Amino acid sequence: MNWIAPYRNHIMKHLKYLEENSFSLIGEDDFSLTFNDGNILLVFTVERYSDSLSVWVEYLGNNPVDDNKYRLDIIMRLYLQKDMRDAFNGTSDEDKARLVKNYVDFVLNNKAQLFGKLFPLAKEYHEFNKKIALSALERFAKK
Amino acid sequence: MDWNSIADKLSTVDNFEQAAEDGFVEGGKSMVDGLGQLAEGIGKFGIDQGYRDKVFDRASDLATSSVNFASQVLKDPYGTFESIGNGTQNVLDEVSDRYVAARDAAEASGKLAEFYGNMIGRGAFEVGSAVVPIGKLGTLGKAGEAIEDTEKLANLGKTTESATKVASELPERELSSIVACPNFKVTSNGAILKPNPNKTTTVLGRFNTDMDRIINNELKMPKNTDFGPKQGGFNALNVPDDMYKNPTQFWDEINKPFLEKAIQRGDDILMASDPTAASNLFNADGSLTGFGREVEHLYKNGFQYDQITKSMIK
Repeated sequence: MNWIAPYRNHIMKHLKYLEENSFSLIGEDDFSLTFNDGNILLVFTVERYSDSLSVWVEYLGNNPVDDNKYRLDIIMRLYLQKDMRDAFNGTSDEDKARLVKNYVDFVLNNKAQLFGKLFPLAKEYHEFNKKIALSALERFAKK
Repeated sequence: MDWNSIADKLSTVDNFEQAAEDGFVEGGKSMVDGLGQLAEGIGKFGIDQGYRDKVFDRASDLATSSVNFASQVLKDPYGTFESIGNGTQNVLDEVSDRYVAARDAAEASGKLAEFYGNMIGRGAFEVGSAVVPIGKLGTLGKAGEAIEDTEKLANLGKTTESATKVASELPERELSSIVACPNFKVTSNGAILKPNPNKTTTVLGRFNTDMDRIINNELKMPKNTDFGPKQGGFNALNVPDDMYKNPTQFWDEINKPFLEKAIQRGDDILMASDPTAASNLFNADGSLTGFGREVEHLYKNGFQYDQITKSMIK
């Protein structure tokens, strides 16, 4: 089963636009796109036994302080300084189309600020990622 | 590197600063060298070349970064420390206490080798954290407190040296318990995939980052619905794809029963992915991932994540 299938057509609709902006498609299983200017990999993926689309940004340059992989919805949340969870809701085909468009628009509108050789929000990202998780674990333990 | 020699040079604040800088730079170099030896030793036990190179390169970068940072701090201590705040003293205490406790626990449980491997990977950060408050005390003229903390730093240094020694003697030392499983592998959070001969080991994690490789490459596990015991072996959720209809159905009918059996049996529950990263627990819309549901269920049942063993313990 190809778990990305429900999103395939929606991503393909933006492919030409992405390619015009220096992205190149290198694989369709997870829709990996390389961004030639900034040396990043943009990966659209759906985890097995799941419906949820995740988009990951991997910095291919040498950044010694982290693993260089960041989830785009968390980047958006940090960069735009607002809780974006509602923007990723929905299960209909229209919802999926909107979701993919949101991701693509964000990437193309902000690539100059965010996708250089190093990720400028790396420290904030990891702090946020850990803080939210630890808070959740504490909450789980009290249930 | 004799870390205790740092303490002998503390007659003046200037000497302290110079000694701390020299010591840290030397420590960083030793760490890189030690890591090289560790990587060399690990290679003898079957970890693939790609992973070994990645660990070595990354830790070398960490050590270099920390050395550079420490040098910068010591050259401009006041400017740097003003922005750090008063809480830095606690950093060293926490780091030191955690190292000693973790090392003792690892030794008691026969997992000293794993501890050393894990410690080396992040050692530069830890020692980097430690030198900041020490340098602060030194530059503020609190030589007495600085000496006390330097002893703690010496303790960390000795641990590093000890790890280096272990690395150089790998075939004869603590890793002997791992030899019985020459194909053990390391996951994205540093967990070691190693069977317990007396129990079933249930492995949990994100599919894309870890479980895909573990199921299909390491364990070569076919799709199955056998959630029964596998003493001396592994269990991982790998049912046919068409058993998935939606997240709630899959959790209720498949995933939860799978996990319940592991809990009831008292399996070792190894976490291949890091549960202290929100990106592993939650989807973009805030709902729990499959792995997130598993972590939540385990916490509800009294388990907690153990950073040292990368497993869930009660």
